[in-house]
Amino acid sequence: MSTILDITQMDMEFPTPTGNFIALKNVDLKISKGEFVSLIGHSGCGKSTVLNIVAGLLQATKGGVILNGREIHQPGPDRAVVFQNHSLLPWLTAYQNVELAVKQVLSNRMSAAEIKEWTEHNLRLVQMDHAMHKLPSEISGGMKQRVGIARALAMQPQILLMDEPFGALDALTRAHMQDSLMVIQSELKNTVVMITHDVDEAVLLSDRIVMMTNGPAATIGEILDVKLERPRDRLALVNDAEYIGLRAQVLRFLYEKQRKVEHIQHAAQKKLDGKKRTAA
Amino acid sequence: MVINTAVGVASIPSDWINVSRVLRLSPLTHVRKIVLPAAVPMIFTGMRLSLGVAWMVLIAAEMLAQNPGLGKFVWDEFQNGSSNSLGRIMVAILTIGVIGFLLDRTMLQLQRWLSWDKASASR
Repeated sequence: MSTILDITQMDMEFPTPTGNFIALKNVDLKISKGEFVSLIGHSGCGKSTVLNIVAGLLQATKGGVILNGREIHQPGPDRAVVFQNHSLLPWLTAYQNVELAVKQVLSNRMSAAEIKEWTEHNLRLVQMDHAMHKLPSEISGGMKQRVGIARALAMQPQILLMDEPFGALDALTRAHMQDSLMVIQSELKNTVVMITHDVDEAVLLSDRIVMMTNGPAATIGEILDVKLERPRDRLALVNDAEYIGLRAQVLRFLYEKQRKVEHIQHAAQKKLDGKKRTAA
Repeated sequence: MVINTAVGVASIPSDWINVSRVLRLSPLTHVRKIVLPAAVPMIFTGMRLSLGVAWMVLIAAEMLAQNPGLGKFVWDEFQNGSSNSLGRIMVAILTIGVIGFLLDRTMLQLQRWLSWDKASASR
């Protein structure tokens, strides 16, 4: 498989009043065409920063990202983003939200009729054709996220970036959305980079799971290949030895090798020490 | 009203800005499709506030400048000392109040027609 996205030696620093904060250090990642990659890690470890740099919304301090042989330095529709909180424009209906993207990206290649057809096709794909003329305030959270995905897919991106796409949804809706995402994915074979902190979601959906170390100066800790056969069935996998093993590996990475709780205990201990000293 | 508009534009959620950046909307389309609609609720709040102030100042200015109008009418009645004056002033004040109220309601109705954010237009 050919590499479509190549992240090389990427560093990211944010200026703060007390000197630069090093968020990412030496991030290296190659993603092949048609691959589904999950980024997992504790909150604040810079997952979103990686995604934002790939999207072009942020600029890396050092190193860079190459998409199809071209360096990325600004956002563009070839890297469609599905945001965590759907970010649909509330004054436009579901249809108009998707149409805005289609018109912007594809209007030089499509006639008005084709634009309408393509917009409706994408809404059908996420099973939102029954409510396409409703405003975002009139549909549920899961439906909004579906429209967000339809909007991203409609741009015909080379790579689809998803920033915790189902993070704001309840568990049942999330499971349902994951299933429909798998169906869509098996049809379109898009290249997808998804951020998540749901271990099950990562194992269920991905071809590879990229586990990130804790910040500051976060980098890629381990990469896990998921060779489970597709289509994957959530219920059948519950008792699947390989699935359980993969899941345990991710959990072990997150809770043994990269424990976040330690920091809290550490801080509490420091506080205690300080108190003792003042008492003495 | 200008301040309100400025605050409204400045407080557009960054997600919407990001959507526009990912789509590479041109500056004109960006203003037309994202900035203006997003700022409309704040613009209307500003217009309602400044309409109220404008009406108040108008009456006060009529009293001072002696331009014909409700303000001058109140002022003249106050000055001439007839026994009917008090009643007339009361009627004039009530009229001023009712007109002010109607102006505000008209603006609210306009907002209901034009703005997408029905929640902010309910009060």
